[in-house]
Amino acid sequence: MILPTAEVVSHLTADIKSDHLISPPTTTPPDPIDRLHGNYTNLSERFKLRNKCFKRQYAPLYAARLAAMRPMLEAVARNKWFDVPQVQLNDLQQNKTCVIIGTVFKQMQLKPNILRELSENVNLPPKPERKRYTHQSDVVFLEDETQRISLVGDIETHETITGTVICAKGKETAGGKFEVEDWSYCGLPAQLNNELTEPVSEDRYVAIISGISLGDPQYDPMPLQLFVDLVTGQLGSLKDQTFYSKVVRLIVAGDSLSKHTRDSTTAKQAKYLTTKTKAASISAAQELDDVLTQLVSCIFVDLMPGQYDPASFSLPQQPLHRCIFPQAAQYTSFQSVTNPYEADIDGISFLGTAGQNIHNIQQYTKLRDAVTIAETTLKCRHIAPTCPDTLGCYPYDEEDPFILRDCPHVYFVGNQKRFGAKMSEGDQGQKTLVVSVPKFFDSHQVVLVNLKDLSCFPVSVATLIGDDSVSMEKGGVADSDDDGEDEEVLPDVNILPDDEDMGDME
Amino acid sequence: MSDKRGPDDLADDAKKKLKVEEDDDWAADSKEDSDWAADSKPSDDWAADSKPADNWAADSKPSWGSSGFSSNFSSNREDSRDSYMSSSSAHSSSSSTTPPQLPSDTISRPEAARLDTNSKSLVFQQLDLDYFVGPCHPALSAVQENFTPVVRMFGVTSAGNSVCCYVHGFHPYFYVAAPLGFKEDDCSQFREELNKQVKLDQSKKKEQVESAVLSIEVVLKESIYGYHGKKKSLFLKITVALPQLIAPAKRLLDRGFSCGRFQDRQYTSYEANVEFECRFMVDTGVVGCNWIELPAAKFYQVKENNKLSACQYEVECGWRDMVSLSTEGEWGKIAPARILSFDIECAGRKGIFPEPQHDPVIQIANMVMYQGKTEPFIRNVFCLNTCSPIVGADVRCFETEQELLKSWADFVREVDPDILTGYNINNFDLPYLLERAGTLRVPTFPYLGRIVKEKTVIKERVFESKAYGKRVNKVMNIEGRVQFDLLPILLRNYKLRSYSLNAVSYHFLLEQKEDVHHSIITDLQNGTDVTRRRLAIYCMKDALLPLRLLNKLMCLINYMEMARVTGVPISYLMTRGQQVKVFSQLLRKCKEQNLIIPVYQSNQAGEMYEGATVIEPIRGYYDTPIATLDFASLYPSIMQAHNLCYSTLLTPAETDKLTPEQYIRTPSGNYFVKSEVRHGVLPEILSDLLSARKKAKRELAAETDPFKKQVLDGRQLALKISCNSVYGFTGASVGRLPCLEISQSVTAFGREMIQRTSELVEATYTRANGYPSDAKVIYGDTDSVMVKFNVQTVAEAMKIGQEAANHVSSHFPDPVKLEFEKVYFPYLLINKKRYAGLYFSSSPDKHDKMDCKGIETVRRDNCRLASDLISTCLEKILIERDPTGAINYTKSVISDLLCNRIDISQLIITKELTKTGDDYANKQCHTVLAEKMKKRDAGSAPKLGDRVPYVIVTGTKKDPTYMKSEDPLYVLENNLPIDTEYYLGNQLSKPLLRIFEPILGDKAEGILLKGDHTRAVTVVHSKAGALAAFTKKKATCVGCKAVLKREGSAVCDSCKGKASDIYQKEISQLYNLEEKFNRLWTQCQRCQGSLHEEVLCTSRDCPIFYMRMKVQIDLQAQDNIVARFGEVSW
Repeated sequence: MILPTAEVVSHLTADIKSDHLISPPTTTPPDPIDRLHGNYTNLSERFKLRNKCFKRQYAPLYAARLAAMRPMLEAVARNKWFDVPQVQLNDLQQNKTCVIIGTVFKQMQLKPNILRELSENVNLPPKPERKRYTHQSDVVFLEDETQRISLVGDIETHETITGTVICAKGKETAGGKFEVEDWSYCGLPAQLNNELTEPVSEDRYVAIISGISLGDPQYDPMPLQLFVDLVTGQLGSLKDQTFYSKVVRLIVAGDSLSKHTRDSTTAKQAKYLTTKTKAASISAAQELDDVLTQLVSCIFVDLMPGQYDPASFSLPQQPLHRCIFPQAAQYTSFQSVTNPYEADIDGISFLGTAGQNIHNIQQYTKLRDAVTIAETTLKCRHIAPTCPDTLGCYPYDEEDPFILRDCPHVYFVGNQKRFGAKMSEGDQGQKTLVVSVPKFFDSHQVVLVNLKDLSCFPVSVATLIGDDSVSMEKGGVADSDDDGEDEEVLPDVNILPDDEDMGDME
Repeated sequence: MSDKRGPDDLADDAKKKLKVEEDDDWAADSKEDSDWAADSKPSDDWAADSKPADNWAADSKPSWGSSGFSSNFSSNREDSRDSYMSSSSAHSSSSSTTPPQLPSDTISRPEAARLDTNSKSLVFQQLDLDYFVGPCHPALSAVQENFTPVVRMFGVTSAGNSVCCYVHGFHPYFYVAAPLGFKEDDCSQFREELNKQVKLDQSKKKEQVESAVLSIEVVLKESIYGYHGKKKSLFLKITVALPQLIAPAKRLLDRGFSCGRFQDRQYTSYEANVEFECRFMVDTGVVGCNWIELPAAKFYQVKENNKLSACQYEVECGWRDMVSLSTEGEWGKIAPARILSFDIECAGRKGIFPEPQHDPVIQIANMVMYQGKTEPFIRNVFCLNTCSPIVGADVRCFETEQELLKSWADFVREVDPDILTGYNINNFDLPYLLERAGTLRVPTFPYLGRIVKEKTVIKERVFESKAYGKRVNKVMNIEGRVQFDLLPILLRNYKLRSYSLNAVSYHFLLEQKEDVHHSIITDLQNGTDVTRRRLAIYCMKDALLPLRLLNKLMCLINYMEMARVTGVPISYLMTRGQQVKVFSQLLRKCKEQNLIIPVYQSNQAGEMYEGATVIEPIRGYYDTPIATLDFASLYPSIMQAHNLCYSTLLTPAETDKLTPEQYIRTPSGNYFVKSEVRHGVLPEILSDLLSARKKAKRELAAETDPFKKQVLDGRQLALKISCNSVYGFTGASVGRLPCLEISQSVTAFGREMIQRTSELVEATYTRANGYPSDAKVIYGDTDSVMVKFNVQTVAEAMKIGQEAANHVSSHFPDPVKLEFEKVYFPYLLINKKRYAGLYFSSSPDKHDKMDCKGIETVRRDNCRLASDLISTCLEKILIERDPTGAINYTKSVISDLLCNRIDISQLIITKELTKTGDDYANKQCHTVLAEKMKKRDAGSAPKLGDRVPYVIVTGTKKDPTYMKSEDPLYVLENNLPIDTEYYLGNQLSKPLLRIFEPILGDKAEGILLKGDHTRAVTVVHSKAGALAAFTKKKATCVGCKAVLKREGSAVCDSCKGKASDIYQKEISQLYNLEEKFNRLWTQCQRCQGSLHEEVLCTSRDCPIFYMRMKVQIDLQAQDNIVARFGEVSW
């Protein structure tokens, strides 16, 4: 499809005249452009699992979550409602206004039920995964250490999230329900300002890419190669090269492999049919190794696993094993990290996931916009509240690593439908850039975050051949049937000018 | 209750037990309902519909009441109710049809309106009927004695008030054949002599009466047994003072009795084996659970001070004055009875099942509901120690167990339920409470009945039948409250894999509950008020589920209707077998026709007779529609058509007295007179039942009110079952009145008819007669024949089947009717009583269901893997018409089995422990395992009557199978290898070959049980066993399983290049297991309804119980493999 002579542009090549590639040959070699480097600290140690134990249940995780968050919510409730007494559900008295604190649990009729699936015929093909599991019969419960009570009143059932810890003011009704008058999450945690690192005074970028989806039957290698070439400085004008030399780090936020590499039927097939089969991800993984090798020769790359990568299922997903990347693993600039992933880059703290936390909330609430959901998880101070109820999670004992200790400067979520960014501000002046990173496979976009001022914008790579680009834009919105339901549709940002403060959307 | 009582309680109990046994005296002679279903030729026809009877050894309704009058406790129980308080209009004139307004927030019954005995009648539905022995009523009884039987009816008015009604003046009687020449004048001498002898015989008994034999009458009656040319003969009707005097009187007359000129004669007795309650009900026309009217001015209200019961209305009347209302029409309704469902929790010691002598009762949950409503109006739980409040329930906490028990008994008396229900309350909850209260000396506790001074005592009854095995049942007297334990009812009426409350709820309601093992209960109790609350919620659910089941299965309504149809008290239906029901109907009919029933002396050795016939099946897979023609109610209609009855039976000798037109000879060589000569009693009962059923069905179709619909549906079902049990009654060789001439004639006619049908069909539907091809009967059984008409479509088969049914019916006498019922297409005929097919009846385009008979899908003694595999294969073959798919599926399941990938719950076999190990001559898997488990932990080991789940694990070659049975949990915990060969060879191969042989022929075995799919085998290493401690595992390469030279690496040198591939395969496996782990354990959290508390449930019947254990183990193992590849450093 793509001719070798295809005219290739990046959005930054507005100034065609100074294009070095088609300038007359010179005898003086161009000045080398050095890539900028930043200070880097990996802060994801708490997401690493060692000596895993599965002889456990999930109750300790919930208990730890509630225990850790209760004091924070008690403070919030005191602030908000002053002298309204805080009680445990055991001590509720009818028609007496009070504040209760506990974990939200939504009882949902459509929630996939393994019992029901088992009792139905074992051999029926598995039901296709639903987009949404919300239903008008859903009921919200609040559960504390003692018991649970269903919440009615001023609380929108379809916007509450199972697993979040909240405080609610209201009173018990005669029917044994809790009539909510007002409720709250505990809000953003405090933000640490790294005093030791000098603030960045020049433009330095961190690029985030997600959802490359190698191994998809529709996979087109060109856009990725373009991006690789751009970021490694093998493409574009001097200006482009200069610009990309300021990208200090690339974060690959999950789903580098497509879901087609995850062969779920193998698990169900009889072993005698599968002894000689290989994992479906092998060739895609090799391809990824090739791509990574090109990248890591020039730039630091942090590779996060995602839902479809050859990694564990439960959050936190453990780093992709280096043995999958025999070439790339040779470079010290290659780093395989966990999902979620947290790091300090030049004094700016990054926290991000490959997007499962957001998708899962989308499925079980009527919340749609990724940035809004991501912001909500910040406000409830928990990256993945639906763990473990509907999102796979390691059965932690006595700790919950997903609780936000401090407010990150940048909070990104990968594999979203479209780009979005918002500067979220907390009561105590915390500022967090919330970024929704689109799936590269659909959007051909990579997100750049400027470490100097936390401005942020997507970069699109496109192959402009006739109508191809158009069709690709269309193809970009893969699950378009969903759009009708969306309450707010963000404008698709395609080409952003070279202007630096464009991305900062508040 | 009085403080005087206390230490003597236990002694008193012992006395009462003795007393009760004496009361049983008369019944000991008459063999009660026996297991005739098992003894006589079992016939699918009726056995399928009616459940086999139980064999109560010496079973009779004991008269608990006898000591009530003679005992001298003082009554301190205050009756706070004053029935004269309210002056509003007296209730329930028969015209009021508006539903009563029932209070929903109070515990006590609605206030009782004042009774105006002179101008208003009292109408109530009686639910329980018994009798006691007490002094005669001065006005209502002709005889004046200190001891006379008084019938006691407990019931509810339509306003929801409780009634206790004493019926006076009715005395037990029986008949003997009068000696030749006996005259009216001989009666008084006969009476005096018999009276003397009976009194002498009974002189040691407590209740002495002035005259034991009240009267002798000469009556003209006829014995039902045999045709006597309609000649009546003389009988003596002997009326005695007390029911327990019938047995000695009968015995004396049987042995040889001298009186005046009738020296040393033996008298044959009639109807001496009729229970007193039954006698009363037959003579007054009362049937179980019907409405009773006491007409104005014909009854008395017992003065408040003299009341013996806690009922709101306590009334007395003479037995001739009460009116029994017909269950048809208006009085078919059901009163708003109060149903109390309860459940208790006990804190056992570690490893020991709770014993009432040692272990406390810690919680009692109660739900009270009105019959006809769907939600309970009282929900509470009595807790020992503190307990956090529960939303929507009343939590009552007590510091001591004594207080708890005392308050609960008070609560029961305050609620005053008509019906007590629960799950296994008769064999666990109630006896435990009573024994515990005895141990703790709570004097007021054991008075749970409505008769204030009557103490509730426990009696044990051994129950043994061929069908159910041996059980020890506990029986308690709770006067006036029907004990409606759901467990035995489900045991009798439904065939299930498991009868735990959890399994039953899941099966019928698709609801599960947390199942807490009794060993954990103590820990929860000893925890905090929060853990006790958790227990309370669990306990309440256990009390609620029986009510849900009761509503869903309509047990109560169906039982009430059965009681009405058969005319016995509802309590008989739970404690007695089938025979008493038929006997009651027979008695009623005989009374109408002036017939009497001889007392049959049963002989244990039952004669055998030939059963139903089976037309040899032509086995195969039929890909054409097969029409099935059925005889509707075959046996009942044969009995009607040929007038088969006791009263029409002729001995061969007697045939001489009749003309050949007047009698028939049955195919079995017996003679019966035709209905023109004498219409039989049994045919009449049957035609009554059938027409009643038709009527009920008509009304059912017309009825719109859902509640009345339920009643009518229950009725028609009861009628159908009753109809079918009549044949069984005549064939029960140890029954009340067996008559093999009848039963063998019935089956002989049946055989002949099936044969004839087959001939007629094959002779009529031939090519010669213009039909497309010759019809062929491919199979026939009991009451149906399967015909291959060689038509192509279901619609055609339906048409021709209908036609054939009409054609054949015309060849048989009324009311025998051959009906076309269904078409099977396709049809897999495996063997006699084993077939499967798609069942078309209503529409030719869509099948109603897949019908499987006698195939492993429904058998309970197979593991679930076998039944699931077979049913899936059948579905693939029959519905999808994809035999290849079925074969591939079978192969993959067999491969999974060999690779240890089958969920262990699929491999579990359950058998009921009916005897302990020592009782069995041959060792069996479940008994051996039960012994083994007892040694490990006596507390959790299965007990008598439990169903024991086990799996077969590998042992040494010579080990017999029973040595290899093991507890599934133990297998999981210790990673014991499953004996896949056993499962393949003993569980799967036979049923598989059976269904595949008609399709694959001889190759079946080679294709299914051998081949590639059997070669990949996973070897499991046990953690238990003698050698496990000595073995050392050497690390092998994850990729090629070669033993590694160096420890600590994942792959061998030659696999190093493929490390990425190997890793990706393993991580993918880990991914799948993690997903499963997550889904299973979050499901359990949702089910238990709590996030912050550990899942404690140990419900072995839950489909994911073993799965979630296995996934923990598998996941840990898989994680270890993945970890061998080394940790990823940043």
